[in-house]
Amino acid sequence: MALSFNSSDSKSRSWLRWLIVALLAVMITAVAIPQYFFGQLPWQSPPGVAQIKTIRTLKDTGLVLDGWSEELQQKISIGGDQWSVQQLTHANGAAPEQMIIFLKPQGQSKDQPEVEWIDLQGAQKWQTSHQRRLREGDLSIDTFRAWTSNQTFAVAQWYALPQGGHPAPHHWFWRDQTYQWTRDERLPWVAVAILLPMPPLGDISPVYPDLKRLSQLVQSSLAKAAFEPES
Amino acid sequence: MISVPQSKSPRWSIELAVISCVVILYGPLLYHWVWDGWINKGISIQHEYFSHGILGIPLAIKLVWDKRQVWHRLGDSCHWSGIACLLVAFVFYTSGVMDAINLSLPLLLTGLLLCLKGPAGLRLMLFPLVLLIFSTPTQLPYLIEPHILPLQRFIATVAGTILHGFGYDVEVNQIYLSMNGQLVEVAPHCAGLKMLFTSLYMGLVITYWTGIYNSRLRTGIFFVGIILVSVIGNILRNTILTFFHGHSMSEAFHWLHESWGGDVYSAVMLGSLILIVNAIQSHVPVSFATATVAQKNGNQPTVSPIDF
Repeated sequence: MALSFNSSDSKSRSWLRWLIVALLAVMITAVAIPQYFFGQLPWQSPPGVAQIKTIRTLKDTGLVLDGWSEELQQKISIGGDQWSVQQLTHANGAAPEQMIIFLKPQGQSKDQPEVEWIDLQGAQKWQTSHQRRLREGDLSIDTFRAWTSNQTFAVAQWYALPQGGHPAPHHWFWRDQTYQWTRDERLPWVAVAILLPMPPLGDISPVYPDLKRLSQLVQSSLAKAAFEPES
Repeated sequence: MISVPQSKSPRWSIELAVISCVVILYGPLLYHWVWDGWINKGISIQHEYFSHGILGIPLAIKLVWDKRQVWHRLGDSCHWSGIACLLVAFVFYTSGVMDAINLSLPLLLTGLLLCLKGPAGLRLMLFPLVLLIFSTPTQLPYLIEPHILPLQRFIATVAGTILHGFGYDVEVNQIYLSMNGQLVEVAPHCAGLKMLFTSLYMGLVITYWTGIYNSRLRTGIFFVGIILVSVIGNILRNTILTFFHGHSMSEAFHWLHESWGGDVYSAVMLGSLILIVNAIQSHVPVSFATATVAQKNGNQPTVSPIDF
């Protein structure tokens, strides 16, 4: 049953076995020795994120959006990490008039998306309902209705990546693996949540088109402001 | 099978050559795992999930050493899948991607077992190999963590209920416990995922050591017991942590959370595994069949030995 080739000839058998030792020796001379003596060990020079400095400054500056004027930008601490929170108003008074953006940019190249959504929800003391994942092109967003005792929001959240975005950490993870294999770089990310005020405990479905449109606006301006390679 | 004694080369020459190569290739990596990652906790939380390797890898080496005579009596054969493993290991090792480099070690060893002694060699060394595989740091905990949110919620709710029962004013929101205005988050690693990993690993070692793997029933009950002990232990731990935090006893909180109080807690948890396995050995039959049918007309008891 097993497809093994038992060689009866002991000479050819030992020839095959020494071939394996030869393969190991090649690995040592071609890879290990140069790493040990002439280069850096792989864990001493981990791949980085090329745009990390630009991304990190997002939490101080927030994001500039076409057609929106900034009323307030603050650096706040959520779950021990620093986030930027911005309050924006639509320049020409068109609906929706107001928007709040939470951004948590990656701080170091080795930071991975983890529990940002739970941290945000816990810090804001939100009750939530109507969870739904929306998708447009290569951008997926998680939307839901969030409320506290005095306000209700329609929320969209996702991890923004250089191409598209997705709310699940595993989506980032597999793309990051591809990045490491093909480019020797880590995949940058920014956690984004946008909040649109809505009537207390109102219907969220009319807000979906706005959430989609604004998510794409935020995604594309992040792509320009943060993810574009520095020239 | 008895191997033909080779007159020219010494008995262990191939094995010695292979082991020397593996030590040169992976010695620095293992040093990095153990010293930087598990002792100095300087790599990542995901890496620390595998810190049971500090015990597991030396144990695996000892088991391999114990089996050296049986290994030597196995006939030489080379299975094609061994060569495939070696090639993948080679690609992973040279990739420069840390997770792949880590994975290349168990892959390379599997390949070597299959190439030197074929499937029989792999079967002989399977248990030490499994010990190594489960000690190999990967991003598996990272991928699991988002899925244990229900467990975190459950632990937070039960811990809140217990404190409430003692008459304390506690509020539970999702995975957050707030007491006297202090917030405690039941994070994934706090929810005992790390402890569960360690417990399951030690469970594996105990299963092998005591030989209860010969009985599916006993093994099943043992592993259910491990999971229960781990969950209950974490409910208690989080309850106590919330109590300390809510009463601003920050020294006590840090003692249990990251100082040697945590180690005492882990030791008690692992000690309870021994108690469970003792209880199973004295109270649980080897299988339902032996308990009920065995006396009947000489039926074969359905004990299915797992061949390690």
